[in-house]
Amino acid sequence: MNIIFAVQNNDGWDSIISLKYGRAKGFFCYSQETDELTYYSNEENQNAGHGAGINAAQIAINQKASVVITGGSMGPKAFEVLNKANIKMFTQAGEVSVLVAYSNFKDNKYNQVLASDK
Amino acid sequence: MKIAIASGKGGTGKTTLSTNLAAYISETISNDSNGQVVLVDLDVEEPNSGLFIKGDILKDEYKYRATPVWDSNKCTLCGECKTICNFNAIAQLPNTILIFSELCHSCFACSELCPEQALPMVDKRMGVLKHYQQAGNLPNNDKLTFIESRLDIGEISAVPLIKQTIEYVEDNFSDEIIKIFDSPPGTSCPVIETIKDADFVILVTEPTPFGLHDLKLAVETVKELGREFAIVINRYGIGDNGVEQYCLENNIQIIGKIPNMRQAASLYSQGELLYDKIPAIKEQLVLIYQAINRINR
Repeated sequence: MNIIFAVQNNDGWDSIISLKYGRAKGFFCYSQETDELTYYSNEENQNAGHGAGINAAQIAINQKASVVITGGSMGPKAFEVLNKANIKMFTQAGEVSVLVAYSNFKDNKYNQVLASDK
Repeated sequence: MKIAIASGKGGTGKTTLSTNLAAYISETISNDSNGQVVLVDLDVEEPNSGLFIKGDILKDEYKYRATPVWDSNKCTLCGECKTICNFNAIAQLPNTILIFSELCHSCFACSELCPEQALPMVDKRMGVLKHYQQAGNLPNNDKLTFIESRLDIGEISAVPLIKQTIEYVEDNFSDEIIKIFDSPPGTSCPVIETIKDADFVILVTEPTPFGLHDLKLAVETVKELGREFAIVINRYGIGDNGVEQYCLENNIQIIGKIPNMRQAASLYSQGELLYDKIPAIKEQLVLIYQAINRINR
């Protein structure tokens, strides 16, 4: 399974989870099968006039993610795209490290988001 | 002749000037059998000229814009559309193309460049245009035509409706007729669409630091667009002399100073025009109209 973490910086497992999704600085994709953690920049998208959430969701789809984790929110358009793509969303991580967020996720400490914030 | 009445800051008096100027001009041309003035409210997200100018409705028509619709039978999921779209309006899911029509700018790129013609453009309603003849609350009502467009709730972009409204005005009224465009506030796309082909832009500001800050942005915008322009200061008497200083230093003409008056606010709040009740405001409209005629010549 591939898991996407929205992050504020590019520092591997120590990166801090982003409170935002569409306008996060970047994403880490962790593949449980290969144990690889790969960074994808989202900086171009951060300043997009509209549709940042859609683009960010597209990154998750392209990486064949099954799960997306953010620190605080999920916009309506990102939610719609991810939901249609059957990607599960978890938004309660807060500003912890990717390592902590992954550990919490594995321990079932997060609830799946079933509706967008707006 | 197209005169756009714009501002940087909102609430400086665009509608006050637009409605009063249009009504005043209609009065001054009352003896001219061919005379006509057209007031167009292009602030389609929140049109309010109609609160001050009333009339008999002549035409009421829906306006549409084209957005792509996905044809799943033809699509091969090549992803070209998603890559082309400059507005992030298309997402590609494993077995689906998802279109966010509210983000679509109707540029046709995805539709035209789709190798399978799987994205035909289909009209979607975006708003309503209303054309009023003979604005009924005015003494010389047969000289004034009023047109307003109103964007539907949920529509994200005002630009296509503004564009189509201007086209409607161009198609129905000849070039020599004075057309007054009540513009949206700010300096973003809707404003650009409103002023880019105007023969003359009047920037309304208030004499405060906030007014001046946004006026500078508006001036830069009209200069970039190569438009002829001048300033009207509204609520003259409040604030400071920063706007006048700025205009002096930059050789920008001030063609009117509408005095700050409690009576004006009171009439405005009741949906009344000002110039026919406040001589000091009419005097300023006379000056503004003279400036317009100098440009028009």
